[in-house]
Amino acid sequence: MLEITRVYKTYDNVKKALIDVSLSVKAGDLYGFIGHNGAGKTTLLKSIAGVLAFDKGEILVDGRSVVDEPLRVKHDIAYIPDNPNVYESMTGNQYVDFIANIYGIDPDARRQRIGEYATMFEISDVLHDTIASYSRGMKQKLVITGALIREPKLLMLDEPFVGLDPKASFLLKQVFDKLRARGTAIFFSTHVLDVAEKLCNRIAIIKHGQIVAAGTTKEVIKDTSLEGVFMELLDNHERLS
Amino acid sequence: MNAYRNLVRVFVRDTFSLKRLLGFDAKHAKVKAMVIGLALIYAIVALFGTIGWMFFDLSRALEAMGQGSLVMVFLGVYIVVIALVMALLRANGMVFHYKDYDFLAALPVTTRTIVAAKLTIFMMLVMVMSVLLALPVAFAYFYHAGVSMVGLLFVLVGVLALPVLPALVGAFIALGLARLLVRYRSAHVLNILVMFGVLIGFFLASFSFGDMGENPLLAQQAFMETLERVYPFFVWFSRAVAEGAVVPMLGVVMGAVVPIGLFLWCASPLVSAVNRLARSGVKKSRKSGYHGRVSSPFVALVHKEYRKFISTPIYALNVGVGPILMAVMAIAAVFYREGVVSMLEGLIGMDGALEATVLLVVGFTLSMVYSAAISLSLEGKYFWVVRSLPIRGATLMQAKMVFNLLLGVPISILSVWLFAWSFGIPLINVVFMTLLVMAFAVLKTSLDAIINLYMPKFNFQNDVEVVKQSVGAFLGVFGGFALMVMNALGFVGLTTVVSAPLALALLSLANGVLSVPLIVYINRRSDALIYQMKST
Repeated sequence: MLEITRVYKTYDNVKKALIDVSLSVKAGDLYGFIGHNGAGKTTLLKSIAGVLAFDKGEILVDGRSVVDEPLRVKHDIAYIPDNPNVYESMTGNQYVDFIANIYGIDPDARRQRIGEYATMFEISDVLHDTIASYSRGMKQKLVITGALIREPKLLMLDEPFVGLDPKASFLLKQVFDKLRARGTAIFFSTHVLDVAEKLCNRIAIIKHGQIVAAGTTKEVIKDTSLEGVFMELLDNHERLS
Repeated sequence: MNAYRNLVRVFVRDTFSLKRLLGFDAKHAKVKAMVIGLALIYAIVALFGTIGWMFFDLSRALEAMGQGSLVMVFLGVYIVVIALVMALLRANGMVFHYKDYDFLAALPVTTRTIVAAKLTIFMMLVMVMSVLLALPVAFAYFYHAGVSMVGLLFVLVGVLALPVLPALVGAFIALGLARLLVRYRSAHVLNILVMFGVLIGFFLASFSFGDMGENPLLAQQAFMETLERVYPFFVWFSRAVAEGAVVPMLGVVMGAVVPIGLFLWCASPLVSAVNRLARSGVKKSRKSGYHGRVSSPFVALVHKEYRKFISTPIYALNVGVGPILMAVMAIAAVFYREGVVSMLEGLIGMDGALEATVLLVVGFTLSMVYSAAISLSLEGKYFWVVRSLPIRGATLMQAKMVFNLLLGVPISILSVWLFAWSFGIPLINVVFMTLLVMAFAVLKTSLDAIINLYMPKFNFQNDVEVVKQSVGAFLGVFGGFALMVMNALGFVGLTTVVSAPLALALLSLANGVLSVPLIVYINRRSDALIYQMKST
């Protein structure tokens, strides 16, 4: 579903954010992307989403290049950033409607899906209020609703559990299971190691823009814990560099 | 005092940095910075030239009548009006209802100190405007009245002191209005309507003082004399400068210092209330669940522009004031034909060719519709949304252009027809005038869109920084004026060899033909330009 091959990205010709990054996410995967602050997680997610231009390499979604066929790719993916900034002048209703109109979702399907997810995340009652009056968590729930109504083939989330209340986190995990069963690939960044260890069937660890480990969760963790592996890999990488 | 100093230092750095003003780092884009620098010099020279010419003429006339000191009353009145309007438009966001409220409220600093620091920055901005206005006026005045060191010193002090009181009054009115409306969901729309009322009131008042000759300032002489009697600071200021009188100058200074203390005392609790209520006190909707409206992606994008426009008072006021003024004048023309003709000729500085006068007025107000030059920048922190959507950059820009056209063109056409009906302009001329207005609007909008594609400003805290202070806004307005002047020169030149309708048709064609490469360029380059943009 997602093939990343030797991707590089440098900011202002100085800061190397991604160095030779290669990854593969298959349909139905729940892929955790782990790294410290500033490791390059958000840069990679934005590059896949077409929000940020990368310098070199190739990113394919369902066999299509994000550079050559950006519109087709964007139809198939949904990206949820870590900071859910959405048009504060709109109401929640207007925002999800805007998204549904852009993706051409037919009236019945949009009513059913928006109803389902807005009820699930308990934002039905605030859909008619302006987004400016929402809390961070509510904004995040709205953005997640806007992403899920498109039924994407690839769902990408940047630190999805930050800002969500425990109930919403639990519900999101249930949604992940449902989507995986349908064949949706989910690729999300996190620095909460417990979450990645418990949820994901595959993980990758990034350090200073370079992938230092990738594979199934079992392969990466072996007989220890993800926390132990993470710390060990970071130490090794530090020594080598 | 220490906290105040620290806050001011931070706010100054944040508000007046070159990077903030330009929207990019000049060190990394030297050519772009140079082009903008040249454009800024052109604007300042044009501004000084226009104001300087009018006041030079006025000073000579008043000096000849033995009323030279009245020039200082003119200066005082203009400073006061600018300060008042600036406060009405910008206090909301700068003095209260500021974006960094959450951060500042958590600091161990009193609200009064924060308001004092915010007010200081706002006053600096107002004073910069006053000084810019005063430079050409003072030159004109001292050229005719003779230079005196005391006079120069008092002009400087007065120019810094005079705007304080009206700015405080304006800020207090804006604050009171915000407090009254803050809990209503449609507060921004009410705010826009009230501000439009105030602006149109100013506009009508400033041009309703008898016949205008070549210099519209001369027609305001009687009005200024009335104001001089009503508002003592004007006469104190003019006497202090003309006679070097210290006591009236002290009066002017005290008129600035005392109200600041009063404002801080009275307004601080109100500022706290407005800031707090704006975050938590807005009335909630009673409706629940999803109620949608299906539309095409393009219409959805245009709707998005419309919502941004009506929910941002500073945006609606600055970009919408042109068409509103145009409509007011066109409707007034139906009822007060002679007065409006005289006013328009006074404004434009030419008489005889009513077609040209109407087109210049419409072109001038249409040039003030510059949403296409700033709306991409206004995406700001939301830019990721449109970037991640499956829409072409060109489609996004087209939606922004269509919104810009919808904002200006229908009212322009209606105004042209109202003016024409009132002034008895032949039908054939009106048809070609309509064509010209449409072609001009398309050309101007395309140019604006390209300006914003090349000079976006995503890093801002308040929409005001984009709407009023960005390079896009500046080039959008002045670029429109330049296009209008070129059309006017073209009309004057063409009518010496062909008839007026043919001249209008040729100009429409020229505007239309010039638009084509710009539109093609936007369609071809938007994707790549938007993909490469650096946003926050």
